[in-house]
Amino acid sequence: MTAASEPDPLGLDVPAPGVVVRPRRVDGEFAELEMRGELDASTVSSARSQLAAGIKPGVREVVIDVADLEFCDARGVGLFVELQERCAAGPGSLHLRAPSRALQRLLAIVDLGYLVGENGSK
Amino acid sequence: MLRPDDVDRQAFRHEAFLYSRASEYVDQATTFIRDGLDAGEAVMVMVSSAKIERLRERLNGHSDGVRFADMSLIGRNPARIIPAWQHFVARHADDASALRGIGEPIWPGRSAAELAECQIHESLLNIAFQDGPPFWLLCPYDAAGLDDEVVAEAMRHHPHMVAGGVHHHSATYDPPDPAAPHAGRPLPPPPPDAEAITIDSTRSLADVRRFTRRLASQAGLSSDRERDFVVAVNELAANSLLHGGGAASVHLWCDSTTIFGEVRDRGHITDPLAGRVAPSPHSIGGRGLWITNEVCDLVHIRSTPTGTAIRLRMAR
Repeated sequence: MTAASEPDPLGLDVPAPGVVVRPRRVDGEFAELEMRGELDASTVSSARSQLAAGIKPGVREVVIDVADLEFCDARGVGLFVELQERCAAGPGSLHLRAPSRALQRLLAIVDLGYLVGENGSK
Repeated sequence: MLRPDDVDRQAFRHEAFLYSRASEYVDQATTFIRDGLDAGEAVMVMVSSAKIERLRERLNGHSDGVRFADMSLIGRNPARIIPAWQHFVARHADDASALRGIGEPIWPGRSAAELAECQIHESLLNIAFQDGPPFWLLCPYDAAGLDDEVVAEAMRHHPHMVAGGVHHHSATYDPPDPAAPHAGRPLPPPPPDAEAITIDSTRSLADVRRFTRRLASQAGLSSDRERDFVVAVNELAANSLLHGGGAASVHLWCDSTTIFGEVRDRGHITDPLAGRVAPSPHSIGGRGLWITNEVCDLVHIRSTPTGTAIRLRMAR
């Protein structure tokens, strides 16, 4: 890392925000969480364990508010698929609420638009 | 006439069609289409919109069973053409006796960079459909308008040729090497004034994105294009972290029309169709290069056992 007194020559000395998952509401088989920050190949394992902590056994319907998710890459999408597959086996569903335009575009490119669709499940 | 006696209709037949006049093109292409329709085959035509119009006119109301697609849109990034054919094949593999296509990814006016990727695309077609249902793909080449070297290259990527109505095997056919399908011709190094960042344990992907966003913004990309460019560079960098030995260099630069991003690492991409097969909605991985191909104008993948370089291009 660049020493604190010396500015990073590339102007990147602000720490990376990472990803934060917080439970909002748990009601029997229903859980609502929010995910904020940047979800990528470096932060996906942290997001996975935070999700596991927030979604207790027995939960079938999961809603994640992603309004403040500033970035998501292919590995982030992979985490949503992982979670969706687990929910679907329940059987249950996963719905991503309030996606940015960027996330909507990304999910459309990989044919997963249904994760942000009206019903939240295929 | 395109009715060879020795056609193997049990397999993939990848044939270059050399033509010199527009009338020859329309005659041969419409005969090929009609023969397919008469035999109950599924037919798809991916050529320029101007040529689609001419073929429709000549088919004179008998083009209902033909699926047309504008190659200048789908083939802008040639890596998106194989997925379009795969979609067509998958859709009709069960309901048609066989499949037929006309695909013209190469035309006079393609830039050298586009041409290189089109030629790699033509070569990879031989792998992409070798185990599929019977599929006859005819690739028109404007022999009068294209350089001789481009025609010679076509003969290296097509096992079959037809010119002047005569079918023959290409004597110079050079099948892709399954052990190093992306070897290609090496890319020239990035220019000396390219901005560079190294990804390792001290630089996160978030750093790569901020670095890329700054350069893309300076290049004057629209906010949507800037976002796409950042997404693409991030995907390559993430691939390097996961599959490329954990370290990579990222170079970014511009010329008057284009912004370039290049990621180099020590990995080797051996899947010939990497980034060219639509990811399953159930798979956890395998989406990085697909996304990159979808958002970029051109993606050059050069990979050998000693390392990989992937160069992205996006118009400014």
